[in-house]
Amino acid sequence: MTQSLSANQLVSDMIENVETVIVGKRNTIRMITVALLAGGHVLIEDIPGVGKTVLVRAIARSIGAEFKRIQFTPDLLPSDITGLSIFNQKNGEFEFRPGPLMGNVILADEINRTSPKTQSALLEGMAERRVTVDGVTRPLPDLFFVMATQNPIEYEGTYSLPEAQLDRFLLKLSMGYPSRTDELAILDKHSGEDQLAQIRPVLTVSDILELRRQAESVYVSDSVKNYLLDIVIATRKHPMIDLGVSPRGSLDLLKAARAFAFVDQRNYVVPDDVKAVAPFVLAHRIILRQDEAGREGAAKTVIEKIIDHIGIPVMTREMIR
Amino acid sequence: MPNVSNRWLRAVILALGIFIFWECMKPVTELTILQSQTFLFLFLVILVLLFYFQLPLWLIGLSGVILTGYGIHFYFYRNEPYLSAQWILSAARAIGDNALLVWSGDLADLSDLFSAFLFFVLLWLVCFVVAHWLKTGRLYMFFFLAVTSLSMIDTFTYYKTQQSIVYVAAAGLLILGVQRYIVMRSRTSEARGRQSVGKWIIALAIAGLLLVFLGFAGPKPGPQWPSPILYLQNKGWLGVNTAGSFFSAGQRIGYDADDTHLGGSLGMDSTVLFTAHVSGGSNYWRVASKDVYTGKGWESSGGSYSPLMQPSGERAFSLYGSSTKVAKETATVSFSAASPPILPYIGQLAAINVPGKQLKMNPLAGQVLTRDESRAKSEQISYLEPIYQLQALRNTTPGTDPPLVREQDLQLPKELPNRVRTLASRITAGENNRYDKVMAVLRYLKSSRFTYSTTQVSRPARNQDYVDQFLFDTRVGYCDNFSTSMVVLLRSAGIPARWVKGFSGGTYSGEAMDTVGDKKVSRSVYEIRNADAHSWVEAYFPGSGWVSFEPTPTFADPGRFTNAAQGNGKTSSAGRTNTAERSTAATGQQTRPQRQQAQTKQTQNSAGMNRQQAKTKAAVTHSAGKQFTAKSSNNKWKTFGLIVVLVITGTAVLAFMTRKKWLSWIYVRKLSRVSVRDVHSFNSAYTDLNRLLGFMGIRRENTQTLREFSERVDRRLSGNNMTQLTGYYERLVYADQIRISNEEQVEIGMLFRKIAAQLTDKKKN
Repeated sequence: MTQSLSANQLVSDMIENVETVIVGKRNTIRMITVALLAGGHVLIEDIPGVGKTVLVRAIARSIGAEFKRIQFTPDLLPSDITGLSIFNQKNGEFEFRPGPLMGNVILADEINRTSPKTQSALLEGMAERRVTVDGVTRPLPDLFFVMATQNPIEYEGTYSLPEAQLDRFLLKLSMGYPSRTDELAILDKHSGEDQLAQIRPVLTVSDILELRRQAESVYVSDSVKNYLLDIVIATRKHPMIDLGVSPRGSLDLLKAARAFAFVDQRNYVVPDDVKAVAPFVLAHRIILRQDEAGREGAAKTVIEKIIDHIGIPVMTREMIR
Repeated sequence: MPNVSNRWLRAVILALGIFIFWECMKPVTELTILQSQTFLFLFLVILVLLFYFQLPLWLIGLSGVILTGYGIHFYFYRNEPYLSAQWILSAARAIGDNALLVWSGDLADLSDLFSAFLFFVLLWLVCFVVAHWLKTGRLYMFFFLAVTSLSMIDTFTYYKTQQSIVYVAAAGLLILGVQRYIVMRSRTSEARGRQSVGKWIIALAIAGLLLVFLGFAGPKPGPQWPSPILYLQNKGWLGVNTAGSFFSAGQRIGYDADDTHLGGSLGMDSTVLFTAHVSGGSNYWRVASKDVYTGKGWESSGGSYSPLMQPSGERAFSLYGSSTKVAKETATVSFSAASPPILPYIGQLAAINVPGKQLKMNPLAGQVLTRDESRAKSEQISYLEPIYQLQALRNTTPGTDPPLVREQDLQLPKELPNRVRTLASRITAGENNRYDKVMAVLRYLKSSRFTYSTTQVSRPARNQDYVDQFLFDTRVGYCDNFSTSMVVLLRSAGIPARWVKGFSGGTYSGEAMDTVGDKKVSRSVYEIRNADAHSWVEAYFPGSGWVSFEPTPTFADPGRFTNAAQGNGKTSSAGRTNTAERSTAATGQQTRPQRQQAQTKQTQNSAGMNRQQAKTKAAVTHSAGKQFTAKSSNNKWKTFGLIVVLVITGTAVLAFMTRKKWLSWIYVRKLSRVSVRDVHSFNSAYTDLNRLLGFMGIRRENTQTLREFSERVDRRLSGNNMTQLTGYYERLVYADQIRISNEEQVEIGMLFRKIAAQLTDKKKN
């Protein structure tokens, strides 16, 4: 299984790379890799200062592709990210100047600090893989990977992302405070900047596209698909949930589970894969009832509870005969 | 400190437990043929200790086999050396044969050896359970079952367990107290000194002694409800512990219709069966006679019953010839609830009246029964008490016995050893007439060669003759041994004789004034108990008819003999009467060849009418006899059925209770030799492994993935074999893999073996 080996290699290389600048976030790194291989985008939500941006930049640098960073501010306009046509006075024609969105790996920093108009431009690009500027639709590159960060909505000066648009992200991660020992290690390290500069790419765009192709061919048995649907359908019936997971959510869950299995060196999905990715895939796709919604991480807890009540499909004697 | 004294307290629990267990098992030595208390005690103490200390299985097995073997040798092959292959082979063959009988359903033919063998095996299992209970502290259960079993024994057998129950209750109190003390001490953190142990034990001992004292000294009301066993007996559901040879120490305490397997010790039971007001002297109560000796016991050749009108003025059947003088007497009998459905009488029955019942009689056996073979409440009889004339008895002419008497009452089994015949002719050699020959046999049996005893009585082995064993080997026995031997000896000497069963005279308990007919008469009151059940001998004398003889030492001869001159000339008539009665039976039975009937017709004249009547009535009810014999074999069937059911139930319960142990053993063995060839074998082996883990308390919850589960297993077992194995298994389940490569097969098989080995290690620790 050569492809699995390289997938595993990718993850370990990635972790090794990123660990030079940030400590103790293996699982987050792994999840970001999963999103990369599943062809989805990642939203990292956490309080300021836990290293979101550094993490994402380190990952971006590990990929030998065109990296763009967009720092979202309240006065940012859609054309600032999509690019715009400028009149070229030499040849008397309008000339397209691509915006930062046209890169391969995009860091959309503090995405909820900008106006919904600009957010929409980003999200449209993420969903449709193309941008329309001045009536011309331009495709985005084959590798188009957005890693967005945002501060929790209750912090000042934020525009919360509309729920309908949140599910453009495959995964929503949060980092949390580092553990005591990890934080001690952080204190011991120099400031991250010079190390970040030393990160060398470990894989190319064509590597990623090939790995994505392989991840898509990971086998999913009917029993696992049914298990996945059990979880999804349970979110639609759960008393604490107003709006459950959509079919797009099911598709994304399947995609993520496949990529997770692939990263785990397998060419088939086990229920553990679904279980591992489901909280990150589903939590931002449901709307809790009003009285539950306020709490931090409430949605993730609800999803985890649902998963804990779904029986695991296991082959019985009858199934095999 | 707590450990040391805990060990002592546990030893106390163990000792008390064994004591309770012993008290529960002790009745076995009274109720069955396994009568050695020492052996039983050793057997169960050794096994309980072996199980309790969880000694290696081979040691337990070996000791069990040796003890069982010793038991079988002790009871059945005592004459042979213990370490001889001969008896072992013979016993093994007997057990094998009997096991086949069980399979073929012939439970009635099971031998005592097999019953004993089953009992020992069952005892093994019970020892295991008791040791388990004592070890794990399930003492309430143990105590409860002990008291229950004792009360069951008390209720359903004649064995009285009142004393045992008091002891067991006291021991149970102690055992629970000690256990409670251990629990309490383990809960309190502070260390307690010896003093508190002492106090606790003193308090317990006082409570126990008080209980024993109250149990023995306190007033005891009579039974609060009628004994259920009588009810069951009346319903006919309880032929169980009264028949069957294994329990025959319990069987032959009283009257029983089944005499086919005699032998074994005799229990004493003082239950009053009936009370009789008798106008004559104390005399034997006759129930029936039997004429076919099988080598093991007695059967009846003519079991045919015909209806009997009551109050019957006619002579239902006659015993005495004209030479025997008779005295007419009356008796009124009232039966207790414990009585079997019999209608006993004294001497020759002249008339019988049983209120509310219709009667039937078997002239051949001289047995009267109610027509539905139910127990009567009372009977009024008038009977003829014989006074035998000695001269008539001495003056019998050889060869004048009626043909039917000759045919039936000289029967002997072909297998009868020759030495019995030789002995008979040796005893009677010096005598020239029938009476003196009979007296010679009687003297021989009453001599000091033979010992009367109700205990320590052997049973004939499978190929041994009952009489031969008694006369030549054991020489210890009771009425059945003596009477049967006498009949066989008489028959060997050519004297027609038959075996009679009934009751001895009973206990005199005063006089009563009764109105008989229209007169007031003073009659003696006798209580006849189960222990009065008896058997004796009737020998035939032409002219005098059937004369009773008592061969059992310590019993007085019931017959009255007189030297007074006797009337002459009526000898032949008596003979004829008797013959007529016999031929009635013969026609009733409808198995005698016609020629013999014709022969008997020639000799009969006076009783012709009697015969005619009997014949027509016999035609109506001639099947009754068959039912009778069917019923008695049914009883035996029930007993053996019960034993087998008990063994099977016991085994099943035990197997169920210990299923985790033996099933996990089976699974471990299975897994350590598993070979995975394809997905099916892999799947079933993996399923087995999961069951095995389940027995050890590691169970996959429904919401747990295989991976999570295997990680849990590996945490328990250390290593990561289960995770590796589950990795392979997942491919079956989630990758729908249908082929396993050869290398993988080897690897998977190895993982199974590793896990099986780990589980075995785990269990040992």
